[in-house]
Amino acid sequence: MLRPFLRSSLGNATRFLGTEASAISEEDAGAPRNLKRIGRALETYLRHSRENASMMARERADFDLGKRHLANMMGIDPHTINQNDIDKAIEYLFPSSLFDKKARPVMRPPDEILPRFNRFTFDDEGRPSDSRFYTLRPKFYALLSEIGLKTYNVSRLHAEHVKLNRKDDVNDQTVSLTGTTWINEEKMKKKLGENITTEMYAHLFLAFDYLVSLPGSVVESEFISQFREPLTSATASRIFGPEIPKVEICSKTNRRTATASVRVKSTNATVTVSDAGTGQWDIDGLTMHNFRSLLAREVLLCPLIVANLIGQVDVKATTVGAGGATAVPRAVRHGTALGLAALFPDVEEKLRLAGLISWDPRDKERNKVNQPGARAKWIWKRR
Amino acid sequence: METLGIACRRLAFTTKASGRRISTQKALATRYDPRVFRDPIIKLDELNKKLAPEDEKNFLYIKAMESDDTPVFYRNEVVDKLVRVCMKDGGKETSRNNIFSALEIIKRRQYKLWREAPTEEEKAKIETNPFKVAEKGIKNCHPLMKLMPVTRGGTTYRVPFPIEEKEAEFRAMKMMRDICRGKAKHSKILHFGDYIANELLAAYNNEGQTIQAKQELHKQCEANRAYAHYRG
Repeated sequence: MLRPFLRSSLGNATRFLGTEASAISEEDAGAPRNLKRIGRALETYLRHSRENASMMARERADFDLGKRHLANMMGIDPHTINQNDIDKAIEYLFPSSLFDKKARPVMRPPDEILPRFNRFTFDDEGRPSDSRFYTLRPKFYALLSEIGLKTYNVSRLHAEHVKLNRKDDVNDQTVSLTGTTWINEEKMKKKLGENITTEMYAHLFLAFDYLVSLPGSVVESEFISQFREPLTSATASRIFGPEIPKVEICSKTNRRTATASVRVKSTNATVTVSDAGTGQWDIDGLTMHNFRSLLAREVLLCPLIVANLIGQVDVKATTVGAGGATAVPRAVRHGTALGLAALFPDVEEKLRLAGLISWDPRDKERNKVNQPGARAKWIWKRR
Repeated sequence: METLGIACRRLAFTTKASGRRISTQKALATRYDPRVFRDPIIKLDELNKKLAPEDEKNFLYIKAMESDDTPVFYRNEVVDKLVRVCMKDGGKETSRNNIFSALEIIKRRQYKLWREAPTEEEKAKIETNPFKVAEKGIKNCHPLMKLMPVTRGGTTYRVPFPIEEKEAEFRAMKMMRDICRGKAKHSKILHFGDYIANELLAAYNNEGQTIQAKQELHKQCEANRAYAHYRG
């Protein structure tokens, strides 16, 4: 399809190569080779393009066939099997306890797994229509120059704004980046569809960092936000650790209760908070006054002090683990705070800001061999 | 990698009193990613205020509150710091009992003074809040300068340096602690808490050994002012 087109030097539009490359390869197999006028690079590119297209077609067919075999093996209807079923089947047929999830067997459509092949547009003389083709990383350099142009525009706008002595704040503001971070190298590669080195990635973000530091960069916030992702990614929740439990109504006493399971170090606690109480405590059968340490009692009361609910709720907790006079109250505090947040939604924000419904992820660091502690070292002696 | 190696090779030092080795190595990692976590608000009056809409705490995670930050009504930053400075081998509960017993002694003595004061004007002058006595006592002991060893041409000079508010507070507490520890070690009747109470009350009136130690330090700084150009 393309070859005769090049030979005749006909046609008046740029054409997108390779989408029908599988068809080309069939056609061109017997066609006479007359590629003298085409550069060697283009020749290689065309060959790779053709090979890639046929390989992808083969892989797609293999995947479809494999999918049907799998459906038969697992007793699923081959017409309705979806990716979720395939993942489950693979996990069942090839159980793997390898730690790294990337090392486990997968079966996914070849377009998702195999590296993407870059296709370029050519003009009617067989030359690439975009001169960045010769840089080998056209998308990367396109993005770099886009950032450059935007930087130029932002600084020009700001200079004008200063010259005219205008007083609107839009052109003075820098773009707000709080709560987000630059996308990582892997995601950048995927976004560009090109294989870039770490140095190139660094170049990109030097340019980005300069752009966002300029006064007036807020006008480009939409462009910049394409390359940033939220820090507290995956979940929209602002609560670190277990979520706020659901409120239940006790059938006997008709009181509202909330039960939370939490962990501090190696202590697990299940804490139930009931409203309309009298301020009773039951921690593994002990009341609060059995905790002789003042610090422990302070910690236990902390959520109630912050929520201003002392004497209005009852707390019942059971703990499992090696925790003592410090870890047990801390675990109960976390559970109580979660229960209060469930029962009284208007104090949730206060408890969150006070850091009471956040999980404390800190742990004891293990001791090291040939050292007296986790970090401490023996004193050096010559002899 | 190189800095890490150097950090690992640094020697731990031994504390004189207990013979325990303390690591001088900086923490290499934190469980709280500094980009995602912010410190909690621990003061009740600040918690009751509404947060500004652009505040990062609106959409980032909050660290769990430390267990000794509970906003109880008797929370006092200076006394808490004194507890930490006087702590030995991680025994915060013991240290806290010592300091609180000292505050109780101060309260009893000041109340007795107040009760025995003949006129209303004299009564009004007597401070009966032990936390305020402790705060002012420590404040009176703040040194204005510190002496740091600087080696020049093989000779080590003790050079006066300016000092920040927080460090001055720490050095005041440390001077007081060392004096009281020394006394408590040789006494069979009185305890550390009793000496702290005595020192705090004395310092409140600008008297006592800690104030003397502060003045001594100032004198040395004055004597060594010729070395001041060795700074930095």
